[in-house]
Amino acid sequence: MKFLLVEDDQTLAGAIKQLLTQHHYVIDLATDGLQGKEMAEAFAYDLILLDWTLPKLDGMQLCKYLRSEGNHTPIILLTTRNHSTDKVAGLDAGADDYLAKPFGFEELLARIRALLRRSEGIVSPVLQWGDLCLDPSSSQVICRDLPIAVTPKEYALLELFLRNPNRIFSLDSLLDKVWPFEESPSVGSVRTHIKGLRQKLKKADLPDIITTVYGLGYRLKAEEVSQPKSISDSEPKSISESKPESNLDLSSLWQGVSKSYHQRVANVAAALRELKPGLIDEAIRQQLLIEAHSLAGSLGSFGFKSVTVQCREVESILDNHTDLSAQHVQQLKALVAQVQQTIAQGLLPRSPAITPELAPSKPKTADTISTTISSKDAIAAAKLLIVDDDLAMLTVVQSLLQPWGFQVKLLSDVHSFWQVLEEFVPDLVLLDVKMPEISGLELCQGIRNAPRWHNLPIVFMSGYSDIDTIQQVFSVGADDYIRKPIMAPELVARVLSWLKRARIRR
Amino acid sequence: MTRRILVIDDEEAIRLIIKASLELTAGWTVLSAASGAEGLSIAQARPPDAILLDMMMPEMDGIALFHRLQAQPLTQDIPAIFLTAQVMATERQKLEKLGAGIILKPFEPIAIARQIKTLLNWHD
Repeated sequence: MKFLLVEDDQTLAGAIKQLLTQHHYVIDLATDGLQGKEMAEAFAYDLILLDWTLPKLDGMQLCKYLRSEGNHTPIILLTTRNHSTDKVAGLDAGADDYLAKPFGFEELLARIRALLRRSEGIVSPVLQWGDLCLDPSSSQVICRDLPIAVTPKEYALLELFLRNPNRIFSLDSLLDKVWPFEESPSVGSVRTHIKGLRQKLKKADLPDIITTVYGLGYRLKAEEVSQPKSISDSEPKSISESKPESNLDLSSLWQGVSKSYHQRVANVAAALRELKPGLIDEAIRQQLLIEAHSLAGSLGSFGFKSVTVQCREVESILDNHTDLSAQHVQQLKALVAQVQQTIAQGLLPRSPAITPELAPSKPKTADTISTTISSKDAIAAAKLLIVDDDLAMLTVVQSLLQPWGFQVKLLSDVHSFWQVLEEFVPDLVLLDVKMPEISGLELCQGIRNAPRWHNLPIVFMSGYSDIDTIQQVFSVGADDYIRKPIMAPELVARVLSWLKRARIRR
Repeated sequence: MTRRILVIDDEEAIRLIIKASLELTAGWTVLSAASGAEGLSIAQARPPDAILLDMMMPEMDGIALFHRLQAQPLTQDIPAIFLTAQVMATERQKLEKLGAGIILKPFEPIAIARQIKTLLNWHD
C-alpha cells in the first residue's frame, strides 16, 4: 500500500514515515501543499495523510481541491487544531478522518487500517486467499495457522494482490505501488521479489497463487479467491466447531479441570464483591490482573472465546485504573458474572443472539435504501440506531442528533438488538463499547459477519480512550470511534461523513 | 520421529491441552511442570527436544526461567518457545532476540504441533 504524506514538520514526517514503513506501507513525502497537490495528481495513492497547516497551499484547501477534481483517495487530516468546529470543517472539506496532534501512533495505524478497509469495501481486517491469511494489524502472513516469513517488499506485493484480486499489475505498476518515489529499482528487481514470494508460498504448499499474465504482468489466481476472513474465524473455535478430523476431546479435558476453574472464577467474583469504589489495594489489583490474564489464556484455549474478551476487559480496566469509579466496579462485577455464566454452560456454542450466521436474514433492501438517499437532506433523514445501556446517554445522543432530521431509534436492551436491526434497517449504528452481558464489540463483530450488514457504518462512542480499547474497536470492524463526552458538532459531522461514504459505496 | 516436549505452565488447563494435543496429533511424548523450579529439574533429568514455557508464572517467570535454562550446560541448547498472551511488537522483538519462539494464548489446540514444527524447522 502506498501513501502520500504531506507534512512540513521534518521530524514528525520522519517519525511517521519510519513507523509506517515498519508496517510495510510505502510512503512518498511532500513537504508543502503544492508539492502534495502535484504528487497526488501524478500518482494513484491508497491513502493521503495531510497536515492542515502547510506552506504554499494548506491542507484544507488541498483536500477541497482534490475532492472537487473527483479524487476519492481516503484522506486523514493531521492537525494541532483540536476544536470541534475545526474537526467539522476538516470533515466537511472532504477528509475521511481527522486526527489531532499529538496523536498515538497506534491510533494512527488503527485508523489507517479501518479507512483502507472501508474504502475497499472490505469488511474484515484480515485478507484471505484460501488458507492464506494476511493480517495487516500484525503484519503477519499465515497459512493454516503457520506463519510464513516474508520480506517487507514481498509482504507489500502480496498485500497488493490480495487487496486487488481482479487486477493485473504490470511490472511498472508494481514499481509504482510498492516502491517509494525516490527509489527506482529496475523491473528485474521486481521480478526477483515476485520470484522470492512465489517460492515462499510454494514452500507453504500454496503454489501458483500469483500467476503470470504473459505480456501484461501478474495477478492473483482468480478462481479460488474467497471472501475476506471474518474475525471470529481467526479466533479459537469452540468445541462444537472443532475440525471433524480432530479426535482431541476437549470436553473430557474440560470436565477434568472445570471444577477448579469454576472455583477460581468464583474467588475472583468474591474478591470483587468486597471491592468498593476508590483506590484499590495494589496487592489485590495485581492478584486480580494476574488471574484475569491467566483465565483469558487458558479458558480461551478451551474455546471459550467470549471469556477471553471479558477477561481482557477486566485486565484493561484494572490495568488503566488504580482509582476505581462506581461504574468500573459495576463493570468488573458484570464481566466476571458473564464469565461465570459462560463456563457454567460448559463447552457449548455461543448464544444465538450473538451468532451472526444464525441472525435472521431477509431479502436485501440496500437498493431501496440507496434510491431514497440521494442528497444531503436525504442523508440527514437517515435512520440511526443508537445502542447504549445507559438511558441518560441515549437521551443525550438523541437530543444531539434529532434536530438534524435523523430518524433515531434508541436501544438499551441489547438482547433485542438483532430483532431491532432487522425491523428498523438503520443506515448507521452508534454503539457503546462497554455494556453488560453483550458488549458493543461483540455486536459489531456480529454485524460484520452477517453479509447483509457488511456495509453498515458502525461508529463507537466510549469514555475509554486507552489504546487497547481503540484498537479493539477498529479490529472488530468499526468505522469510527468518538470519545465521550460527545460534542454535538463532531458527532453530527462524523455521522454525516460515514453516511455519505456508505452512499458512495452503494 | 518421536520427540519429547516439556511444557512448563502454572495453568493446569494449558498443560493438559498441550499434552493431549501433542500426543494425539504428533505422537510426541509430553512432560509437564507446574512451576519454573519443577521445569528446571525435569529438563536436567530428562532433557527434552523443546521446551514450551509460560511467560507469566509466579516465583520464576518465563524470561528468568529461560535464562536459567541457558545457563545450564545440559539445557542450554534446547530450543524454547514462549507461551504468552498478546505481545507488543517490542516484547516480541525482545523474545526473538533471545532466540525463542512465541505461541500466542489462547491457541488452537489441534494446531499447536504444527506451530512448534514450523517455529523449530522440524520437518518430520
